[in-house]
Amino acid sequence: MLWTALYLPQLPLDCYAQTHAAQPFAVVEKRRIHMANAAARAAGVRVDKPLSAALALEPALQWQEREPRAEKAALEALSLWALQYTSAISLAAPHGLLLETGGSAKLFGGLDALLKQIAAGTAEQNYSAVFASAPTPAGALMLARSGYAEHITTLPELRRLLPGLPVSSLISAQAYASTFDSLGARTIADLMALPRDGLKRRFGDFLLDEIDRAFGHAPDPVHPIVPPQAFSCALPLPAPAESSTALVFASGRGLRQLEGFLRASKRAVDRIELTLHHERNTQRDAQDDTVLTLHLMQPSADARRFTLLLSERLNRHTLERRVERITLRAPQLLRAEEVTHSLLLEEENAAKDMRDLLERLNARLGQQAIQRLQVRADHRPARASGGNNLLEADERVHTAARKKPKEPLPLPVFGPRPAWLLEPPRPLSEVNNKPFYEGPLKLLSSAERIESGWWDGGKIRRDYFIAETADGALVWIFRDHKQPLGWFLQGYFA
Amino acid sequence: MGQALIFSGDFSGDPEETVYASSGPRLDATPLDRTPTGLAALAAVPGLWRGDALARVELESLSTGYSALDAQLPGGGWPLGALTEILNGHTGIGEMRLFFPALAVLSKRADAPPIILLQPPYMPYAPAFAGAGIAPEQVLVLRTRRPEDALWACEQCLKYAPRSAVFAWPQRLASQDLRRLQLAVENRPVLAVLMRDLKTAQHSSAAALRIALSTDPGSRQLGLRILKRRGALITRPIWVEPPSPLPFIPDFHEEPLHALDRPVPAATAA
Repeated sequence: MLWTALYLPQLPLDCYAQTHAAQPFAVVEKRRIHMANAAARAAGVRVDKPLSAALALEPALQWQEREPRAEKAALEALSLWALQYTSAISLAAPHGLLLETGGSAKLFGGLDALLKQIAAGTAEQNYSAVFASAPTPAGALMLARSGYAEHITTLPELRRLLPGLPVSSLISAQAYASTFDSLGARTIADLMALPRDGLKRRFGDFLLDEIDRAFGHAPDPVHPIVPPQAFSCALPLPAPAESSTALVFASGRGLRQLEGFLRASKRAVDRIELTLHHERNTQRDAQDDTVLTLHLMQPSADARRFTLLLSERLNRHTLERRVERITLRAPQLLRAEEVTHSLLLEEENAAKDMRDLLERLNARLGQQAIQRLQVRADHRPARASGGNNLLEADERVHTAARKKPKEPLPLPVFGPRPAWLLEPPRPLSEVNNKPFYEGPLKLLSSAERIESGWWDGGKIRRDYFIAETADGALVWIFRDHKQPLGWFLQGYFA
Repeated sequence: MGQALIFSGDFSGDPEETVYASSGPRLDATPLDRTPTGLAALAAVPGLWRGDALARVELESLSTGYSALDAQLPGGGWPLGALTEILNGHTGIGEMRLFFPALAVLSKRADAPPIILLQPPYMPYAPAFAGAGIAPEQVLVLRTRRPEDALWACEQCLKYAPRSAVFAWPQRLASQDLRRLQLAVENRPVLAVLMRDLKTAQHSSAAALRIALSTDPGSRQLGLRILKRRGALITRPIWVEPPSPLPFIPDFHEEPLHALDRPVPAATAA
């Protein structure tokens, strides 16, 4: 077994999706600076400084109250993403993750290659992280926590290294930092030189236990996380966002995490929900959050595709109020389709391009923008044609026509019908008892009587004719036998 | 060598667009090397055609279904991968029926390409398309609220709807927009048709093919005046007879649709 610890020293800061590295940002605890980013530190904002003093130094400083809950949520979301790299992963609160990498290293082409991938992915999500590996989970964590980014594969080597690490690398030592200082215990070796009984009495079992687990003297059971049935992650923003660009940026992390999670669980989604939690400056309800839904034509697990669609969708959306926080949700996980290798590659690609295109159009123009024509079994002209919303149709666009419907509905046989329909029909004037439209109309056909719809209250009784205008255009007109009697223009034979 | 190098059409993508129906062949002012080797080298340049003949472009095309028209179009049909502009002053003279034979062929292809109608002026009526042999479920109607979205959508369709047919009814189109669309569709096997008002004929355009429509009331014929094509200009209109709803007799249902004498679209245009 080999464990890789992923330690996030700046988690309180990094759990906020910071758009600009140049923007000074700090996390505050009890009105004092808890952690500050590089830009803020460059401006002189130091840890433990009172917030008021920091603000006096750097008026542009953005700050948020430290929120351990958000940190934990961020850690959990990151662990879902990391599931794609390992079979077992566990949270090492407060700021670490433990990944079992011994088993999966081979799959990814060796430990180095695997770690490189994990490191790149973590950096992409704007987390600063320290990685260290060791045969024991507690040992790996201690290495990482002391900034010792080494990958130790044997127990003897680990045991040689551990005594030299600082006491602060122990999680259980956090609460006693000043005590250890006064004892003069700086390293693990210093601690181990003290009598075990005394340590136990003074600091409880945990301290010794942690050391024993690190050295491999005591069993170290880890509790792997159980992947949830649906994906959800919260993305807090360092400051309320006014532009959709900031939202796209902030969502990027969530979409990547979703991708990792889907890959790990061999799942795909065809719907993503983005909830924009608006700033509440008055006592308005929490109910008016904006929920944007992204629809995909085909289930996917591709973060790049998600991001493209999302930015199209957000560009279309006008932000009425600033956004404080985003929640990303994939309510339904679908089984990822097996990749089919087709001989008709070109055709496949064309179908894929088409699907991507429709998704983009859908995302930017809205769901109602694209309709697929459909003939309906109704003799009444206005009801014989329908628009089918692409996403409501259960069939997928690229296969729609290739697959014949299982039971083709017998459709009525129509007479000649115009390519353009006017609904409602336009009343025509009458000159010398003849219909008139940009000049007198010449009737070119005998009447087609359409009488239908008595059953649903939409009864019509009309005589349809094909007529020619003075310009040589063919139009479809009818004479209504119901009130108001007269001639109407219903279409153009364009 | 008695052959002068004359370009009476225009280069594809040449921003200094040509005027339609110019009074005779235009001599391009580009000082090109006129030695035989220069000519031979020029002939090897893809996308360049000689003005004295219809371009035998390698561009794919889709038979129009009218042999008289195919004969006058470079490539022998509606060009794929280049803009076609249809200029029409009267709705209903057959501006869509003109394309029905070609679309019916397209619709029957195995890969079932979509036929995209972008901002059509009225509601496209499914039974009409079905009646013309075009599968209605292949017809996608796109409507946008903002004009800039329409242009964006058009560009996207031209670029990424491979092997399909795109018909657009743009509201207003600046010449740089046209050029952008022409660039978007270049070298992509898409039938790209812009339906525009006859009044825009006087503006220059980057489209490779521009056709103005006219009618001869009472004759069911549609006159096509080719304002611009890749190749020499012709001034007389070409008359074709698009599938017509006439004659319509009461027991029409038993008859095949459009029992008209017109060239049967051959199984062309893969």
